[in-house]
Amino acid sequence: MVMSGDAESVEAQVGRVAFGDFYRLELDTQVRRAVLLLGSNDIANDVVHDAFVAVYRRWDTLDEPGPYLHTAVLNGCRGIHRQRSRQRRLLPRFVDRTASATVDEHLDDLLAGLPFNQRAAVVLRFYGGLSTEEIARELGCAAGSVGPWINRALATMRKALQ
Amino acid sequence: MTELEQQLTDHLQRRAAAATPRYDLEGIEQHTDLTSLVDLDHRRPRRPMVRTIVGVAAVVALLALVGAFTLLNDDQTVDTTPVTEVPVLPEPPSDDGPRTLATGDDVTAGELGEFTGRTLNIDAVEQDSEVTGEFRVNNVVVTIQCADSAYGGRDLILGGTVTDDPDGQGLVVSAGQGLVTDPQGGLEAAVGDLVALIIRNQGRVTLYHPSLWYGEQASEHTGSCTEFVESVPGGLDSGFFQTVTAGEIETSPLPGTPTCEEWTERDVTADDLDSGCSDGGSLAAPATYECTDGRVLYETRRLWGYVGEPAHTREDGAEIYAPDAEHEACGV
Repeated sequence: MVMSGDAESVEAQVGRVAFGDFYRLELDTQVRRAVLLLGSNDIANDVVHDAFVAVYRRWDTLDEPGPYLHTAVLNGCRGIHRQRSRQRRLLPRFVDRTASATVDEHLDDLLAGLPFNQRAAVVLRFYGGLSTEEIARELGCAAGSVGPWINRALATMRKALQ
Repeated sequence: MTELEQQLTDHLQRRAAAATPRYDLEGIEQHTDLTSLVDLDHRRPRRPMVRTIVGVAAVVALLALVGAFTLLNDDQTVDTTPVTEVPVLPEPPSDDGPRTLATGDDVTAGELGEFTGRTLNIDAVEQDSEVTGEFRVNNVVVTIQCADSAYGGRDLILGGTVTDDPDGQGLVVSAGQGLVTDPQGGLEAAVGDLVALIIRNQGRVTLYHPSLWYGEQASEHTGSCTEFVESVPGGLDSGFFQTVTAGEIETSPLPGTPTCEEWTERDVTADDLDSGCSDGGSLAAPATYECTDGRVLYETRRLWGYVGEPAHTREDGAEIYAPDAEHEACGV
């Protein structure tokens, strides 16, 4: 005879195993993408960790944890970006490395200066290889917005690189 | 692919390859246990009992007054709006008294992700050009301060500030899931934030928060409520929000709104784009783009075309967008 407590314990174990698989499957992709959106390995890991915590809490009720995780990570990155924008407005920039920067550093700076939606659209297109419609779904925006965001981002970067 | 695009692709791949994911599965399980305690400290304290008692007493007194007033005025119109309806009442403005803009009690959302089963209460009144009232999503209260009828009267937009959140749920706009109250599900509108409720013809309700549209610029929004509702962008019907389909909401199309099918049979004008077209169970608000040759391209999910020409659709009614070449020529 199986006690009800034992049965629950087994179910909980199964849930944890499934979540573990999901975690191992998604962690790498999510962190790499978050790094591109935030430019910081540590903060990206924190954001992704928080998103996984949110998924873990709802693991039993989520039919599709993948899209939920994607949205939670993007929203986390958006929140960090907004905080930084406020900080950028309040704090002077102490290091101006435009003169001595490598191309990669210069591109980092340019990406960091883009509005979040533009940066996200660029990352999803040129790193993720997503189509306009897929990007729109990820960002929860109109498909018609994606093209102009990418165009504006590229125009800004092109101008700065000239 | 241009040189810059290639450069960018290579750069992003290098940066992504250099990232070092931190494996911490145990930490998530432990963190979950800990934060459930920590969160309690961060939650806004529940409304004090004294305030609750005073609030209940005030409501009872108000109801008594309203009841007495109703008894004294036999010809007074009684609101017989059935539960779970949000009729937008297009009554003519009157100088004599308040005009109900929208009302609804315990409207239950249809099947839509986390919004399923949430309740919405609305009570918006206009008098002497001033809009007052509130709407609630579950227990989160938004005090209405202004309203706007946009897109030629197709939408009623109620703007206001989040004023109370007794359960600390937050009013969250979750991309792709309409309006929800789930702090982990999306962007959170906290007490003090401006939000707008958009009630569209034919029973569709959408919550709008500027951050989803404007991104980081949202924090710079310091305008009035009126400016805020006027800034609600067009094209909300073309996929930016998943609108909530509440089957019980009773609305009727405004007179004069053409069907999208009509657009395929005649030249579409710029005025048509402003008012949109009725597309089965929804109203289509086209996105427009100015093209290099001076023409204006428009498209919704189910049609596209140029101003001055009939619209293109698919016979089976499936989604259709302008071809890539047209997009490219119009900077899309």
